Amino acid sequence: MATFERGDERREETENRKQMSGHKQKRKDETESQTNEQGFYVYCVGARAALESLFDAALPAAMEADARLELIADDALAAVCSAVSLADYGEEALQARLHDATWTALRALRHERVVEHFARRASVVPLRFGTIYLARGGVEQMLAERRAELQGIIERLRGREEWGVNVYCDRAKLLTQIVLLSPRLRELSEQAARATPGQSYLLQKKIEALRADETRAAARRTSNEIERELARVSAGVARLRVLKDEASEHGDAVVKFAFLVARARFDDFRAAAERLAEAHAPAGYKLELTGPWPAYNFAGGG
Amino acid sequence: MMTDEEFESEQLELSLLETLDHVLTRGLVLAGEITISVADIDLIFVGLNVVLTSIETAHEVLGARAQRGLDLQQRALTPVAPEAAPVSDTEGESR
Repeated sequence: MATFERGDERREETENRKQMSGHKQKRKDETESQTNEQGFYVYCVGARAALESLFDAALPAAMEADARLELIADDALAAVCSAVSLADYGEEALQARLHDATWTALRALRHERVVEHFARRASVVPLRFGTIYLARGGVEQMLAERRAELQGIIERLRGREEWGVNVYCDRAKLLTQIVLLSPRLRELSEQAARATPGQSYLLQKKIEALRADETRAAARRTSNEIERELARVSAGVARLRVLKDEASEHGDAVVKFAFLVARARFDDFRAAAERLAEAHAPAGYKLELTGPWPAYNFAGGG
Repeated sequence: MMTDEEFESEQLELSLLETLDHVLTRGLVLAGEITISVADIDLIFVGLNVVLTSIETAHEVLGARAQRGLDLQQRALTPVAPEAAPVSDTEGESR
């Protein structure tokens, strides 16, 4: 998907380029190495002064080896960018490249490495993978148009990074535990043991349904408790989507959280997570802690 | 028992998937002149997930899983760093 938001002559220039690259499409393979049209891949945005000072030291590799990281800045904000060839990153070329999982995985990791480098040293707004401007002017215009919003996010993220907490459960273990914990289930089980075969069958059906309900309720209670406890040592919390069937060697994923945590509270956060992991391990839960991440989940406007 | 090397390679894969999830599906979306659409991102992520998890043979995955369950009893909390940071034997350490 490409969006064209500019209303001046640059738009025409862009459209022309687009058409040109469309015409070129057939001969692209021969001309790829000679194409020197460039776009600008944007990684993250921060305060200009803070980012400029980081350019005195060593920097991570950019998206492609033939270009270095650079700043495109106005008087307040700067975007960490690098030039990319439109032979690879033009609209149509990029769509084709993205089907190559290895190509994409490598670029996604490079994106992460760059954002992480700056997020660890300054307050930056991490951008999602794959934001490209056709000209320097496009980046400058974006910085100007969204200045207030970007500055707001930069302030909110200052001194903070993100930790991920994934909660998994061992369903079999949880189902067994539930019977021990629930008086109602215990009572039904005892009744079933004394009942006639016909009655027992019906009771078993009832027990299974109740067990599934209580297991879900227990998982929800545990998730809520983990969220509440960790929110006390955090500056923000987000529940993330759990892909269907996101099972792993840890068991089934119950819930995934992202917490925005002040660097000064990393130890507190970790200690709280460890306490919770220990407390819920007997019932079959596992907590997985990931991070610190750039605050990807707290980079939205709102 | 699972060797450290096996454990670390699993950590690496997990950390890779977590990284891709962050980079591809989260972060501020700016309308660049060329921007990957939301629908594409989902497809890309699913594709990468499949590719990365199919690298190992079924045997390796099953074997590793059985071992991992035991391993995690002592390791209820597994820190996974976005970079491939070494994980210590007990609780891991912050970076």
